[in-house]
Amino acid sequence: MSRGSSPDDPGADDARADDPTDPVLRADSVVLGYGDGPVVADESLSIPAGAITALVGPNGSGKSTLLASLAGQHAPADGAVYLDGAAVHEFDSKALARRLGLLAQDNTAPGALTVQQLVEKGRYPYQGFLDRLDAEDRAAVDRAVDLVGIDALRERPVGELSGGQAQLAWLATTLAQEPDVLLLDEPTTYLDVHHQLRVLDAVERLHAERDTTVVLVLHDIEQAARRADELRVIADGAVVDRGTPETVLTESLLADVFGVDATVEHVDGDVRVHAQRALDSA
Amino acid sequence: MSLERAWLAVLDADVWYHPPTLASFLLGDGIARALFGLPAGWEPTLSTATTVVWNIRLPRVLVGIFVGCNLGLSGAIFQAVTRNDLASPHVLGVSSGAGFAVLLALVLLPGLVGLLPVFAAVGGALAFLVVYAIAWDGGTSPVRLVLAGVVVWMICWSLQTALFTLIGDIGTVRQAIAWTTGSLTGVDWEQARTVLAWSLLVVLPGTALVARELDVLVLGESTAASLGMNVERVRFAVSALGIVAAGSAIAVAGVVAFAGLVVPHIVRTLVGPDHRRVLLGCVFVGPALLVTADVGARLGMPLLLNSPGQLPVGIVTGLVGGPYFLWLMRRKADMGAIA
Repeated sequence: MSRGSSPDDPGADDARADDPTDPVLRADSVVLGYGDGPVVADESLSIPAGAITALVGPNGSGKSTLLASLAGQHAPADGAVYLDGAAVHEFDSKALARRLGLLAQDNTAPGALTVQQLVEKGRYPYQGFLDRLDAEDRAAVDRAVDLVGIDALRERPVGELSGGQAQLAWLATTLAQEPDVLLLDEPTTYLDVHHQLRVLDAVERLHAERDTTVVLVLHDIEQAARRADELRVIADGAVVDRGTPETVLTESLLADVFGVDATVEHVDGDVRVHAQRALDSA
Repeated sequence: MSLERAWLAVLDADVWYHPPTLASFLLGDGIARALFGLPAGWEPTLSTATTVVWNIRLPRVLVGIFVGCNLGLSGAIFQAVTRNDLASPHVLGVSSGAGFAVLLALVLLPGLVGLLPVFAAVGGALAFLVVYAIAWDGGTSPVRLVLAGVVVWMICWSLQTALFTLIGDIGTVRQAIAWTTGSLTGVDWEQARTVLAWSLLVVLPGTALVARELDVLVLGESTAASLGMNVERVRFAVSALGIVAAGSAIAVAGVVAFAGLVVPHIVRTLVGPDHRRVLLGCVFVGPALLVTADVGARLGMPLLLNSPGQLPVGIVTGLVGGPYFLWLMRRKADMGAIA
């Protein structure tokens, strides 16, 4: 995959200090909360176009809340989210769904629904009031199923799938929306390693083939370091660092933000994080 | 009356080829007279067999068909909106609210009997809103909705029973009992016209529009929203449709137990989870269940007990639906939630 910049690129430090100049998605001074005090207070966040950006941070740091607000699913109490310069909350809901897809963390479907039927639901934003699936819809469903690699599961009822297979089916449903920007909330959590890799591989294929902008919330820093072009480090509802994995992931950041004693290796332009032990919290 | 004679009566040319007669059944005597400029005392003149079939049997079958259809559709809609297999107009309080409102009207406002469908719909809607309000806590869950439904059901049932003590006239008591158990005894063209109008003008066209919305709603609120659905608006509109469907059925036949719960289940085991098929299936299975049950209700007592009475149809649907549901529950381990 392509990297926006390498560690010895002189532009890297600038990218770290300022937001990218061509953000496709931008949260502007947003205040987000669930009633009892804000989870995120007055934060700004920019997502560069055509890159894979990972939001990382400890549990309860506000990553998922930020992602939900980027998706237009969590209205900010103050501030606004912009997609290509237009406020997300002013979009027609179907028009927004054609440009921006969200794969949420917990998904449930009627057990008797087949994978094919589930993926077809991804075409909802393209259908008028009484339209049925047309040739273009079917082609989009086929592309999504192929890209995720679940052709063999098409006729299986969702209720009989393993957790990993179900996640792939849901990913295909979101891909059938054919969004320009794809947001994924912890897409690999609770999956076995095989399915974690299949989900992330599918996301990378999507990014390579369609130039889709991807934003994922990831738990696993090692995974984020390997897969993402850009990182946004979130702690206590604030964006504490931003930039490429090479510039952001340092041993001191891992100690300060994540509370782990870790070693960071740079190998052929790749960053490898090896978490050693948990630090006693102060 | 033999089957042949019954069919000849149904197809009687005196009805079908005489517009004023047909209009007097479908639109009412008053409208037919006004429409065709007939004198005030005019009524259709027909053979005895035709009169019996057209005045007594046919409206009852028609009401059975549309009540079954509307209850089935309303059950399917509520099960999708709440994402709960156990949801039905009954469990969610719509039936008890509508039944209570109807009884209230019978007892306190006997002059407004013509507006019973409106009372049923408003009572059902209010009860459903109360259930939703009780179950709401920044969102709602299948279990909370059912529990809240039971609470409202109990309260409405108590109030309903209390109203019985206010009724002095034994005829009104019988009428009230028929309402609360669900009965097609004594329905005539007036009820048939009511349920026919609501079904054909609102419920069936509305249902045709919401199949895909229901398919997406059962995927859950957040998925539906990220697919571009305006969830609150759609859920409100779809629930309103479910209330009209249930309310119009209750208004003419009273609270028919279990039909709204069981019909969608039967249909789903036959055609799977796709709502276009489920709703279409309800349009056929609901009437089949209700009309068959009504035949049982009408003939059960004379045949089994040699007694001339008729059972309310709600008792038959309860007796048939309860055990079927039990069987379904034992067969399906994941009963309780659609998802």
